[in-house]
Amino acid sequence: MTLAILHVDDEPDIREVAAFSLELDPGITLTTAESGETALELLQGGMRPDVILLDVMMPRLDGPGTLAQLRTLPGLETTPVIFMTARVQASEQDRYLALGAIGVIVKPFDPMTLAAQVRALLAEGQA
Amino acid sequence: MSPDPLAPLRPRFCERARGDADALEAALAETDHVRIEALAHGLAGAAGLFGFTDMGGLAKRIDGKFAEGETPGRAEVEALITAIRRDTAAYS
Repeated sequence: MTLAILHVDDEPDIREVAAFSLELDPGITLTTAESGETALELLQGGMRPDVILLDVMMPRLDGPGTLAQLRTLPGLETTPVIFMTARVQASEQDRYLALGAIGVIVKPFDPMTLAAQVRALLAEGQA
Repeated sequence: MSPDPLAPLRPRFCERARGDADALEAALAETDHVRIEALAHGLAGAAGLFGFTDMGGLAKRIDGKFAEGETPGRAEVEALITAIRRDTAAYS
């Protein structure tokens, strides 16, 4: 199954490794954004990814703030969002799920299995 | 496939991490906890990707304290700075 992913993270190292990881899956087309603001510009410009990977802690506009804004855009009301975070506390992860994310991927992730993790969370979310 | 597929990306990470160590040192001198939290949080997510488990663990501990509303001790931040400089030295 082909999958268009928008990955949003302010850390260049994370973007680079995630790009390497996700592009191991030939069915994935990837767009990256270095901030919530840039992601919203892309989405306001008409991009409609199949899933959005969203870093939680970013300067200015964080992941939850980005999610709240993108939900107001037509066609993005139910687009699956997966938060990515270095914070492993269960209370934090529960909070992200309560915001409407279908899952949380903890950083550092396994570069060799990131694409499979994303596909598994999507499958769970659609079950 | 290369046995270490991230090898081409590692030197750039190390260069950025050394910059983070300098920034952490400056933030510590200025007691700038917001900056320390942001730097530690970034390293907590990235260092482990490149196999720097000690650096990543120290950064995660500092980031976790901020997440719990606590302030990490000066020695913890200094330990992270030391780990960054030690572990990235081979890539300078």
